[in-house]
Amino acid sequence: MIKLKNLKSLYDHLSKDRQVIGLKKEGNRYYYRPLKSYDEWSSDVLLGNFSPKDHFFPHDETLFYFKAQKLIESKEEIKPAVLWGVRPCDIAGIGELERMFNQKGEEGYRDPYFMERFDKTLIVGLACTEPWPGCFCTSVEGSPYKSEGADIFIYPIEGGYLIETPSKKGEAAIEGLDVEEVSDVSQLEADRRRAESKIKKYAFEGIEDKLKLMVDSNFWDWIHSPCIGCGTCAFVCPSCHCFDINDSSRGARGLRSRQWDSCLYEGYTLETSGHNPRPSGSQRWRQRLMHKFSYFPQVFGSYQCLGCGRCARACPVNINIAEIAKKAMEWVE
Amino acid sequence: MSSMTDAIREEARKILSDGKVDFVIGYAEGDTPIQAKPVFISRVEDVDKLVWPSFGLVNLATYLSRYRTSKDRIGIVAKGCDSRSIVALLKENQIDRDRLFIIGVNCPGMLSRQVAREKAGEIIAAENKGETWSFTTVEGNKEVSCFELMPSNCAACRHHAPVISDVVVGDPITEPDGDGYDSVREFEKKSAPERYQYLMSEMSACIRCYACRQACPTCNCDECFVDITQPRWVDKGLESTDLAIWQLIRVYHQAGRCVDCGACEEACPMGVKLLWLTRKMNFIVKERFGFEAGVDPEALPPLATYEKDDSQEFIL
Repeated sequence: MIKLKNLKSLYDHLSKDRQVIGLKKEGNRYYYRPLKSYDEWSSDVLLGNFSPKDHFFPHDETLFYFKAQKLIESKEEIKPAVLWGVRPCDIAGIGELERMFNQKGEEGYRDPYFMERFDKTLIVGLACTEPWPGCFCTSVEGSPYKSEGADIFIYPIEGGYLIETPSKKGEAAIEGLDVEEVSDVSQLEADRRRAESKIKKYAFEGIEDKLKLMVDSNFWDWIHSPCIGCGTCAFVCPSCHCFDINDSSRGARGLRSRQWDSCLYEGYTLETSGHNPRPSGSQRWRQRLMHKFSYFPQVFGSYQCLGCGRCARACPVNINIAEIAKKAMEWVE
Repeated sequence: MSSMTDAIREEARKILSDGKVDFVIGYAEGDTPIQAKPVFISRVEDVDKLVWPSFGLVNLATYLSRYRTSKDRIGIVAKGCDSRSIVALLKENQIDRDRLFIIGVNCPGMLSRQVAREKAGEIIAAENKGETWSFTTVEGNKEVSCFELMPSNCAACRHHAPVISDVVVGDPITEPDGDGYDSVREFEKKSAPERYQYLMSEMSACIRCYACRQACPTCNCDECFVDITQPRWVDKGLESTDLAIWQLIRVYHQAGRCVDCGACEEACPMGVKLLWLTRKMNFIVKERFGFEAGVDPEALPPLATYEKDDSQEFIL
């Protein structure tokens, strides 16, 4: 590991030939946005109001244009970027998106739009020394000090920062940076434990199996009740990746685009015939919880909820997915 | 616990144990700061989850159209504005009056998480200190008075008392002077380009999560025009004209139905100032047709009736 007195030198080094995307205040909210300078970065904010997924998987993305029978590919040029100061939960979220959009095997789906952005982005993570109330990453295999998935990872310490490069991409990126090598990093373990001790812990072990048996449970009949069926939770979630594809045309010209979608929308599963296999709120909430805590772990081996707590903070009716998962764990038929 | 909370619990306990209702819709403490959580209480032993919240801008009447064709007997905690929404729903035959037990509340006004964010910043933790709230934010600690945390719709409210109820809790509130539309009159003084620019910049922040629509009791169409694909009325995506048209049409559809409860604006994850549109429309409906949504249970809504001397100079 290496030590830096301040982060500006790293920022300047990385931004030489890359666009930096980091948390920035706009109005009274914080978003991942292109930064013009280091000073624009809201360094004290743990979580933006939205996750950085928009950078890889834009909310509204043009796939191609058409003119009569002719298709013209979207020409947006994807530039090399640095995703700066991302917290471990959001890094894990990017990892979940990558699992989904870069599936292995011949049958696996590979999303070229996502992958081009992903391949061209350097992820710079930042440990959370002071987690927020509502964080629960340690219950879903995360940690405020988890560097996995980042290319470069920053640990704030007294009088400076320790920098780890978990990937070759990250290692190559810091070449040429004036650094001080450090061999004793034992302090980090104590820092990690201190930060983790501040986070509310839920016992979710075995939840994927528990949920498997709850498909026909009465649990779903009442758990969804307060949900009003908007898309807020899915939109702020770092790992929700469902999208809808739409054509927009004027005469023979037009474009095909995709937009974020949410499984809590009533029309999400509506079929062309008019049949809706998930017509009730209870079925939609079952899908949401099952996808994050059962189907995804079964297929990809990891939770699809990273414990950032954004959904509970943003939800108009204050539904907290961690509390619902906890109730599912405690549920007795 | 406040006396309001005690009174709501007592009424809920009574109707549940008497078997008058199958469940009661009310507010509980939220899991995150400055937010109340709607709850559905069906067992007497859960009644103590109910509270009278400080940040309870969710209009509970939004849940009623879900039970349009069910046989459930429903108890509901209703502020002045919620009760007006219930009246609007009754007029449109969205719910049967005899399946409802309305615990009306003389509501002194709610506080808003949107306003709290505007005044204090990104709030991590919050604590009530009587007349003020103390917020821990990413930019340090801030103290804001309850008065300052009141949203514009509560400040403009002239119907604090429930207009329809089976029992009322809380002390009666003296309605303030004026009609509550001074903010609209002020806004109208701005030039047309100024108003256009302001409203377009607000609308262009919309992310089409439809939280506003879902939070609204009278946004209860089986299929919303914005979701219809054949024909497509509004393009999907985040093009600002589409966003503005979506919001404008949604608001138009609330003519004579919007009760200015502020639930849409409070629900918005982007903090879009939706009430400028709805309140202006409510003002027009009141000036032109002398109608306020949900205030008179007997009056026909303006879109459901016609009178020869209706003002119609706007029709070409």
